[in-house]
Amino acid sequence: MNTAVAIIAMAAALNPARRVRELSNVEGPGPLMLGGLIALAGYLATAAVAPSLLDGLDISDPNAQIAAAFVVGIRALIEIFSQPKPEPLPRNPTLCVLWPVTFPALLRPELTVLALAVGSALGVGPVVIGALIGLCATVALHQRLPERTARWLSAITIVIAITMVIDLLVDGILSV
Amino acid sequence: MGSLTRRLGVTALSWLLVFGGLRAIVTQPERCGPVSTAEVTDAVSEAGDWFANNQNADGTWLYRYDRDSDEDIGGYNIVRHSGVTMSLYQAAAIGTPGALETADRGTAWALDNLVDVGDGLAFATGERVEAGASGLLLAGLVERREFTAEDIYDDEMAALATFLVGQIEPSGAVLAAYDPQTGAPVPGEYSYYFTGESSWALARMAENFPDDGYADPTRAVAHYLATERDATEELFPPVADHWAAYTLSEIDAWSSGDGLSEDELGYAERLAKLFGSQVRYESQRSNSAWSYVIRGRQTLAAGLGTLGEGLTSLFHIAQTDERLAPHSEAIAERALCVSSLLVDRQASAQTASQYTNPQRVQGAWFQFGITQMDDQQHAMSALLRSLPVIDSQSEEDE
Repeated sequence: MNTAVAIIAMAAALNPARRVRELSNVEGPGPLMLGGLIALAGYLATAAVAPSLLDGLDISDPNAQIAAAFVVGIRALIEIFSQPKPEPLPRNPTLCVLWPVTFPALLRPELTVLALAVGSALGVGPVVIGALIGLCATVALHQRLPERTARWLSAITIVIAITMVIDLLVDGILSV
Repeated sequence: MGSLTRRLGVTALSWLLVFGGLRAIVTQPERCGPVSTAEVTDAVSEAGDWFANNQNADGTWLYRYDRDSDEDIGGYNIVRHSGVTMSLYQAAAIGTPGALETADRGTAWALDNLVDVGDGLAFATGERVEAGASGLLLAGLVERREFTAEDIYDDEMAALATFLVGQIEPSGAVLAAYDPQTGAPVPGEYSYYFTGESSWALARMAENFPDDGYADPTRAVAHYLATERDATEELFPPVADHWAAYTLSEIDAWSSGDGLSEDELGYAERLAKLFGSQVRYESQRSNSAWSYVIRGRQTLAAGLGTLGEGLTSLFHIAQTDERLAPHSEAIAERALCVSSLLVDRQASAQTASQYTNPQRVQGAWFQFGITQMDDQQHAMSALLRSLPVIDSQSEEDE
């Protein structure tokens, strides 16, 4: 697995432009920053335990890579054909950090699978860098991006994600 | 709040579907248990005994057998006869009891069936003369010569090598057959495996008879395999050619120390990936109904064995050539996976006792109740060639 591909895949799979549209109801950057930190910790922990977890599940690194490409690819295809909707907010605003910021927006199953694959093959570094880029971009773009720009940026990110998915898939299949 | 509850449910379900779906469909467990030297040598010994117990009076072996109906299905293939003989010599070289005697009886039958082809000799039983049978017979005789230090078959070996060299085209391609009527190779006819079988035999001859000019034709074939074969012979997907891996491993080990060219090394890397991906897939197959639906039936032991032979050959290269070293760990892991699968799938004495004719079952590998002698051949070679891999892993653990 190529390190640059892994980092770009992590960042692109988060699709910051789409996430900010889903989180448009959330007020201010605070919940996003805190939720982002929780998500980052989640991806970091996933990457850290990835080698022993995959070993325990009898999954080789290349097969984990194929699995990650599979789910990130499917998610990217879903995002091509679906419009993001602002997530409903809980009555207690302090819970915003957990819902909808951390779940379901920033800590996502497809990214967790990708963090597992990347973490096992390359260590936590690329996972943290890729996730940081995506999460920081999400915080930076939140409530600052015009709808039309967000839509275009999201589409471009999906194309990038699919390109990375193809690379991960081919590389995973053709690995020793 | 209803909308929020629904979204929470959808989110929880999406996590469940992703991880459950992946485990059920994409990432089935790769069943590569640990395997020990003792398990491997026992399995090799059992396979060797199968050949000893199922050898006919003339030196040939039981070819195809149905354990459920206790039926000798018949048929014979002399390329596989040579392959079995070669494999038994490999087993003899690691000290498998009785393997040398069994192999020698097979060799005697093969030598009785040598035919004149130009300046050389070829192993053939009918009108058709093919390169593969002679290639593997020669490779086996070299193996025998190396570990017994006997030179009793040197004349036959030279004659077989002469025939094989005559089958090589200027491009390095190996013509599959020779026509006794015309006294020349049959033009335009190639084989998936004869090319690698021939080049491996010649590579071994080059090491044992360095002054006899076998190195150049070997390199020509190796270069052809590495750069042209799949395209020229229109082979797609590319052939996971374990005989080519044997060839590359042999060239890498030549005491002349030339090592592999960049093209050959690149080919070795491509082969490693072909073997590795197949092992990862095969190791996910079990006998459960679900596995059968999503991964298909378990492959033949012959097929699985060839992956092990290929990987163990490449392991030797990865140990000595730093350009392949980055793949060394993965190659070793896949090679040992093959061995553990083969050990698990071999018919034990207990399994054999459930059938009418246990000695035709014990030590063999079956698919749908049928075994063919090359199942034992390739499995046995893959197993015994994994012993250095096990040793290297043990050293690393220490």
